Amino acid sequence: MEIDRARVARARVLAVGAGGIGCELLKTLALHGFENITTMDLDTIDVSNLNRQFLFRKRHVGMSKAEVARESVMKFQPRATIDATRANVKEARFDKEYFKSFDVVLNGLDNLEARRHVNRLCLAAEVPLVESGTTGYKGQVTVHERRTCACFECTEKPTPKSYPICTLRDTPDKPIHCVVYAKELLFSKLFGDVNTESDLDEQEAIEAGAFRRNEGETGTDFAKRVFAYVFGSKIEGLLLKDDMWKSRAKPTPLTTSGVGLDGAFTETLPDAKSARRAHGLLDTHAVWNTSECAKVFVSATARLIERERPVTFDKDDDDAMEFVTAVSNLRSANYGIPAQSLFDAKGMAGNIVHAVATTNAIVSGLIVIEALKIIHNQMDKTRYTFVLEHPSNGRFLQPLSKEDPNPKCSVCSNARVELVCNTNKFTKGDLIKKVLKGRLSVHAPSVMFGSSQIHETGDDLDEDEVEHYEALDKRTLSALPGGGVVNGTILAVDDFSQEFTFELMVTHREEWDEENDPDGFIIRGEDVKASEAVAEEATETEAAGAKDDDEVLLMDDEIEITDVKRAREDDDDAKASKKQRA
Amino acid sequence: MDASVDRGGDRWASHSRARDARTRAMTLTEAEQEVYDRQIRVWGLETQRTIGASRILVSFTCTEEDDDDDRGEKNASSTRASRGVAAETAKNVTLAGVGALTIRNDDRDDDASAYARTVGRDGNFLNVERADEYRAMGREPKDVTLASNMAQTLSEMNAFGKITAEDGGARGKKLYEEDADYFSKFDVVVACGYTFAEAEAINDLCRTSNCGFFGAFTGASARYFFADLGDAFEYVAGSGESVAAGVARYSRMSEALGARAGANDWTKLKKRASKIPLALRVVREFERRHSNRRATANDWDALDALRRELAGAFGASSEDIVDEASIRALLRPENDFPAMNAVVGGILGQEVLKRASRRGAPSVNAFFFDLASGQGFVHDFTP
Repeated sequence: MEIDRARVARARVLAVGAGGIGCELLKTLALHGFENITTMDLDTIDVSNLNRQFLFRKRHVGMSKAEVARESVMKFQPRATIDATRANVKEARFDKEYFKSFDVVLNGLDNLEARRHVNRLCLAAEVPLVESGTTGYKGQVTVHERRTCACFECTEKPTPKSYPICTLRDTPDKPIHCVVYAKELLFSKLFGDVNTESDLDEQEAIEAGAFRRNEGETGTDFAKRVFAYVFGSKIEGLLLKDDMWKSRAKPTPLTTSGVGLDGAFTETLPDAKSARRAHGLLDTHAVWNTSECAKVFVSATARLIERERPVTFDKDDDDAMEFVTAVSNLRSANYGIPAQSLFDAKGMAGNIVHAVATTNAIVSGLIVIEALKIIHNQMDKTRYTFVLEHPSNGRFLQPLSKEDPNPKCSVCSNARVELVCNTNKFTKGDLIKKVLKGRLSVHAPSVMFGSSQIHETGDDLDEDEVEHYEALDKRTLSALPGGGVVNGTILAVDDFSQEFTFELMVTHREEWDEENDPDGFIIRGEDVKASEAVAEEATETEAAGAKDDDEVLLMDDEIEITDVKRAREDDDDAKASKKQRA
Repeated sequence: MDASVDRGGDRWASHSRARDARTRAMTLTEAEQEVYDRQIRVWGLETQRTIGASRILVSFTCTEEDDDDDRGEKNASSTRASRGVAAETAKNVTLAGVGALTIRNDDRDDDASAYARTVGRDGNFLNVERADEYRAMGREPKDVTLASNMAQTLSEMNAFGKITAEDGGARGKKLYEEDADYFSKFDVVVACGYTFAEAEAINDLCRTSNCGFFGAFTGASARYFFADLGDAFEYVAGSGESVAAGVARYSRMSEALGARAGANDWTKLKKRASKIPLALRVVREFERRHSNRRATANDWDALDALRRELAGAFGASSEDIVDEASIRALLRPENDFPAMNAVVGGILGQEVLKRASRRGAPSVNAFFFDLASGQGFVHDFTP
């Protein structure tokens, strides 16, 4: 590959994200003689970054990733000019015009929403995008450009998994169900916003005041009372529902006496910095027994209840994480589910993605190789590369030709999206929050129904407009003004910040099975239909590897896209090699 | 989430527990667990402990490459590609939390060893500017060697291990001139930028001292490395219920790339397989016939004749079986290409860690990455 040094030095490059991939990428770009680099990252440096984000040191913890990365790179490559900002790429100032000022955009992002946002802006600005992702030893680099090849959203991405509320509340059968119960339901109920509705507000709980701290009640007494209700009488109540246990093992209630909570409650080290430490439980990899869990539960609850509400769950908040582990394990004891160590529970509750330095380094090299081709006008030579954990056909790094644009892609090909829901129950608020923002990553949606605007987003709205749209949020789709959004209605959705416009067709479906579709809606279109079949196949072929990741609720760190194409090609490759051997 | 991996680790741990206990406390400190959290989720606690007890040497030289580079802008990213590969590999294994890492600069040129001369001039990103820091410590920056400046950067990346700098120049010998005792101080030796003959000598010394050997090489548009972990390298692979012990067989580089080795490679080459491994045999043979001088683009005529000669001698189906581009990819680089260093340094780092922890199936016995194909593949040269 012939490199034109002047061209490299001149090229204007935007590297989005200065984390795991970003640190390696900024280094590799600077070493290659790129002198015109812009980077941004919203995050600050955390201790758990230091095993791979090699531009950061212990003394940088708490500081801006983008700014420290810039400073560190300049020390070994003083000629590079790096414009570094602590910022969210979704901010309005990073608009189409901003993206147009770059020759190529390189993504080292950790969440699907931001990646989609950048993809849409690159399409609008017609700037080539190099996308990347890593998890553990696996990684990928893909190249996208408007019209010449598929965009990042031409293939379906796995959606975050959600769980039916009755499974979480009454019939859990996996550790993840207990962790989600602890974090999403009980933690929020006890320490979150008092005014938020909770699925734990069942009649008998309210009547008994099970979650309300009585006046003058000590933290530990309150905690013991919550324990007796949540892990004892609530379970006893469920046991009376015979239908529930016809095909399931019955849960076992716990008692305060059974777990050693009767009598005076003492901590061996009351001044310790968190609940478990107060009981001398120092090994984060050890699995606590039931009575240890009960002690941690009481101590953590007593500590958290003294804080000013609302407390938001944070996996790095020791008391919060220890509370979640204890609750999850006590529920596991109720339901005969294996208990987890604090370390493992934290991985689940925090959606922590496994990460090593080497994969990020490899991926950064691959990104720069594609970027070099792009700035030398060799788009035709760019390709996808997958980094595999176990070599397939001897290959750790598997190059693949780029995909063509998917004519059914709603993002780059204007294809229509179909929303299936019960229009008599599904509200406009659900449409905005769960569908447009939650599932389709639309950042600032506007929605037109016929000739009337039913939703707008922006700082420039009048107060009465905001009120009007908020009032509409509570209405069901079929009760919206103008005759109601019903079966067959087509809505026009627009996001000015992403330069993204598409049509959303609504299909009404009356009956919903909460077990199969806990969200109460389905997004599809011919594109999605087609890829669903392949996606299932992909999950099967990925089997063991993808299993853990399936349980991830939200993408938190460097993420993996279990790419449909990748699994398919791997599979092809395996078949091909079998043939060869035969 | 990763409980299965941890259980696998525990089962496997009994192999190494005895040594582990000697060198290091059985538990990681809370500080170590915080820093290494994300990777413990990848390879488990036991592997992290073993990595923490491992002793690695990363040694580099670029005398075989064009080191006469002080000409400013045009050659600012110079041909000292092996320094970039060494820097990437050293960074990766240091971040992983190795117990001890020695970084060794084997270039005798005293002038080249003062770090400031090459800051920002090659792919060696461990060589950072610290003139003010050194002056504040009462040291003259020009007296600070390249290796010790790199070691300083590495030690900032790993607060728990011991990072040491070494200079072949100061020791008055090159790595391949050290004795077996020297090598017995390490579990793994990574040698970057040596000639084939030198690397083979280092490989032999590693065999004698029972340490793992990796030799990394740079070409015009390719990077590759050899591994020799002995005749029967025992490891454990898999996770959860499917944990299994395995044994990998390696050979010395000198045997794998010997003048008469590789007959099968020539005759049984798969259609779609890369020609680069065969091209390497041609380049290796060239150096054997030219007093171990590194082949450059100027040697094309001789290489062209040689590729045909070898194809004929080994009975290949065509005398054109090794294409020109594959050979040229392996010749001495005119310019560095840091992106390739990052790729090969990543895979090499992983293989070093597999050797150090005996966890995960190791690659036998060479890995190649080339720009033209974009493939990164393992090739077994074992005779």
